[in-house]
Amino acid sequence: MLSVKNLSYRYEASNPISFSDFSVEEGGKLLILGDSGKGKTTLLHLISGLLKSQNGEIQLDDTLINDLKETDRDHFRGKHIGLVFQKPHLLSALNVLDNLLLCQFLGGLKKDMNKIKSLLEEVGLGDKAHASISQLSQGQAQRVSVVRALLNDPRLILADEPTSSLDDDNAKSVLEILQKKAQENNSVLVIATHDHRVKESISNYHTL
Amino acid sequence: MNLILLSWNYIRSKPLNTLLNVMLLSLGLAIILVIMLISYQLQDRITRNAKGVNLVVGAKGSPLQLILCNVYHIDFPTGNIPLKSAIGLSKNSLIKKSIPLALGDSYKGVRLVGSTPDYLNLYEAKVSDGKIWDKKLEAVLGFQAAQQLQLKIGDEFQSEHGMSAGGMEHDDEQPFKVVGILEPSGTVLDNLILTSIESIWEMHSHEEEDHDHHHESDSMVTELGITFPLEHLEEKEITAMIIQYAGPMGAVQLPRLINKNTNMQAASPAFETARLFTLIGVGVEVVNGFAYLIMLIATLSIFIALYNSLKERKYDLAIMRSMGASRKLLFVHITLEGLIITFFGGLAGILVSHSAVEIIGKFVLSSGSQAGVTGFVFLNDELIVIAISFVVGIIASIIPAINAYKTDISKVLAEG
Repeated sequence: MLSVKNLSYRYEASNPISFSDFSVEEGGKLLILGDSGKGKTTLLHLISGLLKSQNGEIQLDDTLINDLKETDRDHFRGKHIGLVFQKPHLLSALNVLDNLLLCQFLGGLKKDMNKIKSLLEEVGLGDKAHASISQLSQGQAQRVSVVRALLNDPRLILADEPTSSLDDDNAKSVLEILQKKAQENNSVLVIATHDHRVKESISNYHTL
Repeated sequence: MNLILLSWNYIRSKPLNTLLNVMLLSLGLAIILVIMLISYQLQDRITRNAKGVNLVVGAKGSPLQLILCNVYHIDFPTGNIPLKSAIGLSKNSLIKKSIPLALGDSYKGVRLVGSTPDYLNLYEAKVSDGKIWDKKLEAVLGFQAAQQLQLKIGDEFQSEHGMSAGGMEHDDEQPFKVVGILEPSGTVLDNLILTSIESIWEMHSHEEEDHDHHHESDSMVTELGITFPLEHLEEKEITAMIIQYAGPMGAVQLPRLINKNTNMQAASPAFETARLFTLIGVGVEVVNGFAYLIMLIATLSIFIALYNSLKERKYDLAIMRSMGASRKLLFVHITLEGLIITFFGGLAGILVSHSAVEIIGKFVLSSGSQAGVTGFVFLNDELIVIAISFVVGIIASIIPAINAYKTDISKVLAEG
């Protein structure tokens, strides 16, 4: 379960952004809606521990993320939180397989080739394991980045505009796999977006 | 996947840049190593050749020339000294041992040295084949000399007057006969033909031969290990005499005594070679300075490559953080990248330098020149090279690594 209480964040020399409280049950899905500048990305960065909140409380299951030290937040994130961004941001020096192996390594998990293979199969990229990143289309790369976010069976999946630069087919497949895996693992799925295609498939939302 | 593999993948993704940096660093290191290897081997050889030689006494002239000629057999003699003076000096109580040398002849560019068996004992030389000379016109060959001249026991050769190849043959003389070949000793003996002083005299005194024979039987004497008719004492000459001191007082008194009171000069190999090294040392310093400059450029080049690549890689670094990498891990990741490049630079430097020294030893300083330089010698000092590469890697990568450590991931990701 994810819950956010009394959360606010203040960038240097600007007014603090306050976030209204919300919570998502285990296995639940939530859209974060709001115009740009309302702090969608800031909220996701706070929840994932990329930013440290000055005020408030972020709790995932039994862990108060905002109480963790930076290094502990890094470890916690690697193990329990999967992140998807607007762009795939795969490491271009590594091939598809190595990108995913790196994810297991950085998450502190054992190398598990079968899992990587089966997830790639599921997103229709079973034959791309040894492809270099530059050979992938935008949609394929984004699907690899989704596999990366899901690979370590995270308790929480955070996606920041995951579909906004994809065509309909790719957007649909990305949304499907995110929801399917969240359901299988009973994990929390939070998507920040203003893409209407996402709104059509998930009804539960929180507006900033 | 692990950190080394991760860094390696980034290095591999820029092969040309990596090649340039590895080559720059290895060039700098190789120059330092080549100088180190050659000067070590030359010094070692020079020290071994001067072992047990406290003083060389010869005709007046350049003391360095006296040493180079009579200890290392590379320069020409300063002249001759009267046998009588040499014998007189050898009676001095400060002297433990005197070994006479007679130079001036050669065979196909290999020097013929007339001396006594004491000269072989000085270098603890062992005969591997045959025996030491005991009659006139018998010769013993150093290991290298035998190989180079392709002579074996029982072979005969005609010596030539002068010390370089193509000198005038003593063609109206009897030939020398090879009676022994020495084991390799790593000293100057390896490249010499050795014989008795009497044999050398024989070569040069044929005009007086008839005269000699008249008196040979009646008044023979043996001095300094040389046997000769007493009446020749006044006229015979030798080139130089190697002296071992009886005690430390010898070093204090003998050189002054000889240089002041006789027509001969005394030179100390230790002092003269030290002087020579000071002269060569300037050149070595310049080349070494040049090598350190190249390594500085290599360091800078690796630094620039890493620093620039960070700009392209800020998303990569931020994504790694989002996947659970800590700041420290990114720091290590970038540092490792520098270290892997310099590791290969160091490795290449060692390979290149040893190959270069082997080639120099084989083709440039080839057998006749007494150098005996090989690339198959490994020195403890070479560990310094590994240390230097390590330091270069750290210096080149420390600022990029700190930048990676300080990356504001949230900001980078929000931008993208």
